[in-house]
Amino acid sequence: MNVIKTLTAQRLPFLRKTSIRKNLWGYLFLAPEVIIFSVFLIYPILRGLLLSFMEYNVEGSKWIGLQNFINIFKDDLFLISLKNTTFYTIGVVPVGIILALFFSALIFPLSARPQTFFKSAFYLPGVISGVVVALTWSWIMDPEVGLLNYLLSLVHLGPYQWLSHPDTALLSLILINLFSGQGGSIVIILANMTSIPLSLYESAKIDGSNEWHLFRYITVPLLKPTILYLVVMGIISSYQVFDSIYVLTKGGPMNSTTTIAYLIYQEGLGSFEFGKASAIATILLVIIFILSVIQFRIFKEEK
Amino acid sequence: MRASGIYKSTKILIYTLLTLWAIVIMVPLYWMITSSIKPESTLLTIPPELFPEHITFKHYITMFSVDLVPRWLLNSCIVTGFIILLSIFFDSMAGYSYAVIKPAGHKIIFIIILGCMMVPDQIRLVPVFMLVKNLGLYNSYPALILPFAGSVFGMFLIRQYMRSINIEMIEAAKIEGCNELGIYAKIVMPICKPVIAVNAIFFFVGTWNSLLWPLIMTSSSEMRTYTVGLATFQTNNPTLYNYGVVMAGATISALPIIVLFLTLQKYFTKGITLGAVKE
Repeated sequence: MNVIKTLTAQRLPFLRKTSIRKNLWGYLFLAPEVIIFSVFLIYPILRGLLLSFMEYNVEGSKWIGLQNFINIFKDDLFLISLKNTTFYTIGVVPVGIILALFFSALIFPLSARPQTFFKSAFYLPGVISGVVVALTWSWIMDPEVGLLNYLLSLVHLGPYQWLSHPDTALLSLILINLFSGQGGSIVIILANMTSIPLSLYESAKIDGSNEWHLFRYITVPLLKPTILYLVVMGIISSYQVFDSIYVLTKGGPMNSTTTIAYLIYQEGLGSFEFGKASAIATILLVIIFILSVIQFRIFKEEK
Repeated sequence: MRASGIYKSTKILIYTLLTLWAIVIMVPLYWMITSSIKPESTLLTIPPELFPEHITFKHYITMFSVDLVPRWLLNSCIVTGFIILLSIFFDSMAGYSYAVIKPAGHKIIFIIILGCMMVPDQIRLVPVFMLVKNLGLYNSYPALILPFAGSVFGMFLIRQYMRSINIEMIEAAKIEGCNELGIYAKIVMPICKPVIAVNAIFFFVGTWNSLLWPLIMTSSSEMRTYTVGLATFQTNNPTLYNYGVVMAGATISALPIIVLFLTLQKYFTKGITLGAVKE
């Protein structure tokens, strides 16, 4: 009898009394969050994917297959937004990470106190809201009375139109992003640098390597997972850039700063083109997914 | 410590470069605060006045003369407070279940939810907007709070932390007749204080600063959060708009975050490395 009992208990662990109780407690603890996520996360994602194959109407939606996607790829504004977003990402992510690596390498040899000081100083601008940062830059980049044109005039440059000219608007947004300090990346890089064994540097020094060699052939290769993380996260967030565009340019002048995320907002909540907006969002999802996979592949091969 | 190995001249160069970068990225903050207290007479002068000679709080008074500004601040406080409380509560309960109780099927649920973190927010924009309208929640506090009453990343951090808790302690409590609720409340939560502090700070900064979601969840000016009100200030108050007033508005928004950062720096740096450093 006992043997049978243990056998069933092993085979079907969920039939055990303690197991049932354990599961009940487990689900009870999961319930609030699973309900929230089901309603506001999982269901909307699925609905969004479905909507991109539909023509939305208040009376009822109609399945139209790939028509939204066909329309989108014929739409100049979408292609412009794709180009703008890609340009923005190329301007923001690699330069940002190079800056972060450079300053991390400078901070690393310092003693604990100046390390903490510079880390905090670089990180502070990054925690201020995008709206505040954007408003401040709109004042600094004012073509007539702004601080930036004044400072440049001291070295006989400018004046530039910055955000109000189609040639410089996107570039200005990139500059604003880069000047947010790169503190987050620096903190992450430094935390990972401390885990590199010092003995590696010491033996390389004995072999006669200089500081640049140490950085190039020890630090950077060992930081590869960290750099990959920063590249992936950077691309994901810069492909979704919205706040600074909403505050500063609203996509203008002449659509020169319309990004994918801003276009989705405009189509979805400005013109209530729910199907079209969802289809663009689906394309954004696919782009981010493909870029992440490519990056993981590249880094894996190099390993 | 490799510091001993560096020559003095390189050390000076390092400090110079780091200080320069710190100054460059602090300029916008400095300019925002000083512009907010400059009288109009010196605000737009060329060359710009780098160090304000006369100080005035007139722009702050103008800002608060806009009827809705106190209401926006109140909205931000209500929304931020509820989101912090609810998500800490729900995230930690779920984290406890994933890390300690581990009911049947918890792995699959966990993976599905974690997978959603990779999906860009934009895909949910229209569906959540429609859902909130259909539920009759549009333009209300629940619309600003409920969709964010749990955070995948927050839950993930708490779960990671709980996994490092000594299981024997929990087993001992169980033998003494403590049920899961008791263990969660009396044993696990107190241990998790550091990670909960990190979460609270990140929810505070994230919610206080957020623009896109509160923008699409509300339509009337009364329901705006402060950040949304500030972002739409120029369109709604064109007569009041000048750089001094806007910089005062921006400073009001940034001040709580700056104060929080200066007092709790450690938690900020801890939080950002928690998810990104290999143990």
